[in-house]
Amino acid sequence: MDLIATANFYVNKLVTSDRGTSIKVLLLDDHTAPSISLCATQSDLLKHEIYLIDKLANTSRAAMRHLRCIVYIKPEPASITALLAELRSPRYASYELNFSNAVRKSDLEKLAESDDLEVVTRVSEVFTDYLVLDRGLFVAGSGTARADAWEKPALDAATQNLSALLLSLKCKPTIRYERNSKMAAKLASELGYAVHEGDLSALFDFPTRDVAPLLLILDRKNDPITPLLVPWTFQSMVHEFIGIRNNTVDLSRVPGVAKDMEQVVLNPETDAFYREAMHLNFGDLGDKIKAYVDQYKAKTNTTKKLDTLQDMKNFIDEFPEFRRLSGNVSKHMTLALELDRCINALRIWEVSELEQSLACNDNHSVDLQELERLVLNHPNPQTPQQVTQPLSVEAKIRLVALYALRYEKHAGNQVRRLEALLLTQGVEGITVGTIRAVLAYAGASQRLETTGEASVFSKANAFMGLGAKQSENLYMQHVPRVEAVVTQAIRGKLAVRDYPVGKHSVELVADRVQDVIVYVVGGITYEEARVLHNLQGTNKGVRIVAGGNIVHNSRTFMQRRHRVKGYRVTIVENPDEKRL
Amino acid sequence: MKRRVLGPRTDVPDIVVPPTPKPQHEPELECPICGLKVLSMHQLNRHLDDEHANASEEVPGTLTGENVEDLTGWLRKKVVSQTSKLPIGLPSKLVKLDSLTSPEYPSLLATSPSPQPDTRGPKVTRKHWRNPSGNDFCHFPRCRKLLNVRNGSVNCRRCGELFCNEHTAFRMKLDSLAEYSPVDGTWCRCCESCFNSKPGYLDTDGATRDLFTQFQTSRQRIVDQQGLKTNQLENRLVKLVARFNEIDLKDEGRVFKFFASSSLGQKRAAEREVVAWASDASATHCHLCFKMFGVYVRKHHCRLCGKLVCGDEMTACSKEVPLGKLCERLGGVQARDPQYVIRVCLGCKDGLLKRRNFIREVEKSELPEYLQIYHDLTTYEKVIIILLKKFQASLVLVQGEPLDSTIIAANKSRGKLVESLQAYEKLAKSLKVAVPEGSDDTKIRHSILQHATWFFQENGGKFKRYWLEMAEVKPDLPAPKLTKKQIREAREELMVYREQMFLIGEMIDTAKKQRRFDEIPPLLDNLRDLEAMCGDIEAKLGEDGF
Repeated sequence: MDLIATANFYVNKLVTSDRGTSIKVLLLDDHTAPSISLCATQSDLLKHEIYLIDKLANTSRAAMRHLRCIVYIKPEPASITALLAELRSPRYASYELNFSNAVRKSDLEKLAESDDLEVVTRVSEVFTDYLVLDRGLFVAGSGTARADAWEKPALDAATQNLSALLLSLKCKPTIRYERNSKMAAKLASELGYAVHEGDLSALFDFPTRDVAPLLLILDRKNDPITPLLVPWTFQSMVHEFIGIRNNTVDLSRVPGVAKDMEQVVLNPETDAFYREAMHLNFGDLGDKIKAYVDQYKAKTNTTKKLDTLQDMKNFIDEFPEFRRLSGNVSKHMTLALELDRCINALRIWEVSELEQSLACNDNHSVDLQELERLVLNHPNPQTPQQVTQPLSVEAKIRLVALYALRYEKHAGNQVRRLEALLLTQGVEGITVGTIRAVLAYAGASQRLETTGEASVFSKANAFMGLGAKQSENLYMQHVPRVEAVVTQAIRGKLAVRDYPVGKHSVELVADRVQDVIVYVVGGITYEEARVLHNLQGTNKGVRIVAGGNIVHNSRTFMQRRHRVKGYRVTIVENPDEKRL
Repeated sequence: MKRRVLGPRTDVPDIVVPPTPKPQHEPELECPICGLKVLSMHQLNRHLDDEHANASEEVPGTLTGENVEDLTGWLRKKVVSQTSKLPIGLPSKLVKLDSLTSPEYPSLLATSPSPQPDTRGPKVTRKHWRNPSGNDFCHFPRCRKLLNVRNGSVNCRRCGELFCNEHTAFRMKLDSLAEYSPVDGTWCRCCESCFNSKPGYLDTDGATRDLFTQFQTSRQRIVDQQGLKTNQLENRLVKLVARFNEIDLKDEGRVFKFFASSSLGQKRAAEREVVAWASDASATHCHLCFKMFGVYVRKHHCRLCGKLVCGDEMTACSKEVPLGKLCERLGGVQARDPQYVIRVCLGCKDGLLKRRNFIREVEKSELPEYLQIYHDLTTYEKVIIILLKKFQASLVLVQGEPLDSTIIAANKSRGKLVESLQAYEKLAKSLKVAVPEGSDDTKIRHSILQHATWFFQENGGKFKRYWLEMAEVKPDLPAPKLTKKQIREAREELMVYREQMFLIGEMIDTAKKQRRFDEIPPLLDNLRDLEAMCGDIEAKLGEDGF
């Protein structure tokens, strides 16, 4: 259940040729290019004598009859068409075909028919049709236009990607889903069909394990809180404030960034410091970076004394590593400084305190007072003379949305008044409408209220003894719901009533599970990935892999809500309407 | 939780027990934790040990002594309440005795019902268990904790070794011989290494499927068809050429060439003989580009298949091809009149020549320069790696016994190594040729260069390290009187150092450009050292220098 190791196995398999050594060309398509760049660097490929990498769809490639070619594509219509054309008039001496998922029989026939020159020397399927972000985090499936139902292409994509994931992990799982989510149910039944009766079912004939792995399909709408909260751990913060896309961070918009730092890669596999620091909270991160810089300084100091031959020898040996280190130090310094700047510029300390209070405490009047103060840009009563810049609209909307979710059923709910306040602040009606969109998506009536765990708000978690570390950090009180759900799953205590077993699925054995694959329909967050990573660490013999169709931060989550179902709030209703 | 000590019990009441009547009702006990039905207290006891012994570890945080007390108290209460539910008719004494029933001393209660076979799986053997000696340490390599009441002392059910509680927090299903049996085994406590040794558990190789055979079968059908078609076309062409040759031969025999027109007519007739032409009325559209025939789009017959095609230059549906060219490609036939043209459609041209052309191009096309260089580079790489090993071995010898012979040998292999490294570098540099940017050729050249640089850095660095090591051991290694060879070597060495100086100079420049000033001082120091080295060598060379 190590996604990176599995991905490396596949990459190795596809670049290792059965036919001796020589210079090779690698042809990719739009799907496989990002997936291979996530797990293999150019020098890795160079070691396998791949000296030219190009897109299959690029028709201006020159004919090179003495080179051999490795094709690695997803078997979808556009790529198959391009491959057919390539095989009809081959540019290279021979072709090894690798598909990232199952090829349809008819496509294979067509390919065979177009290969009348017999240039193809290998045809194989490697099941890599998903993106691997970390050892335990993947992205599978595409976004949907609606939030409560699948369209055919999106459902197909999710099914294909997840069945590739299961095949690559050699899992024939018990599939369970959340009772209230139609999408999760649909996906569960499609996947069950693919595993047990579809074309690929013969491949799922893996040796029985003592307890079947569990594929748990969750729905984002059951936990709208986690993506809305400002996270405080390194990886999540980078994603929240700057944005991570396929392990790459675009720093070009950061003020005063060096030229070579505009695009940086944050890959825990290649960056040891990042692996250690990605789950640290901001305070610990500061210490960690300081230690890292000290280490770097120590290195530069020792290299300054080049008195003897020995020193010189060491220097020559270590110079490339030294430079790598210096690059890495400045990368993480840049990131940390930018995070710090964002925290101050966006007044995250204040915002996060209120957010956590909203999420974890039951204190309507105090929360409302603080929320109003922030929305109206009033100064902090404790430090009235301190001049603060107004809070960003985004943050205000997010806070009101949190409030709306938290106190939806509260008698004194004042969402309407807060919306009106926002409107008077000059916020556009369509932006204010996002709050309603969030409510419509994940309001109390939409969420799964199970008997065991009472609420997504972690106050309830405290009852269950899960919030043991709550008081540890004021800003990290909230524990994502997924922890409670997966903990129950590991203990074999997940209620069948709330988490039914999918059709066509392996029979449920009421037992503690050891391998869990979590898939969140509607997107996962880095915060959840971190929590699950920790859960795996504390539960021996348990392996957890998690993913979603996207990795959300608060901005993408809100945008998505807005785009899926837009509301426009125009009429300024009587602010005191609901006060009674 | 205090663990039950295994082995014969000493506190068994020494009483003669009358044969007990079989209880009227099966005493049914229920496990207070998982609700499993068991038959006797003994079984319940064992079940609790096996299945729920590590229950405390499931709760986050450790249980304090008080909690343990609570738990056992609770268990006792449960058990008592269960016992009270037993059939009233059964004497309580017997119930107690029944709890002692165990296979280890069956003679005690010979007539009492022996424990029913565990419905949840076979009973796992305990023969291989290591007996606690009282002074054991956890078998887990990195733990080695003293095993006692607090740390626990648990046998891994599979390997039998003793572990502390923490390192047996794993479960796997075992059969009666304590081997992994995923389907109908019993859940047992085990250690981490046994847990990880489950077949396939740590596998990282995902599923794959090889479709080549299937692909090949489908392809073979097409290839065979294609082969037949090609054969047919070849035959027609050979026939046609033979007919033409006949006509031409006759023609050449004639004294007067006026009748050339008649031979042309004969050739036209021969064309129609070889393949039946489709009638003009049979097609309204070109069968290749589907253009409609008309005044501008004329109908033509392909001489090899007889079908109607257009003669559009743009689509190249059909073209007039000189016989000579066709024969040359085909091989084996010679046309007497190579200039004579016949019309051939695109389909027939491909059918006839596509495969031949492709094979010819793959086999006969010249290797581009960079490929040649690449092959040479890989050869050098192999040589360098071998030489490096040799050099290292000779250095070990020198360090062992610095005799003249070993030193000479070391110097010799060093010389060879320097030579090949230089040749390698030179070769790699020849890749840097001004070719239009962005073309595939350039990309490949660039990649090869990158690879070569990487290789050179790594192995050159290794070489330097070995060399410096040797220099430390025996600073007077280069013999005082300089032979010609040594002069050459010293010069080479000088060149290597100068090269190094140059590289460092470049590094300094780039560091300056990128404003990484912290990198500069060490580089400068390094440069100074290199200068000193160069100075030394130059001094040593004296007049023999450049």
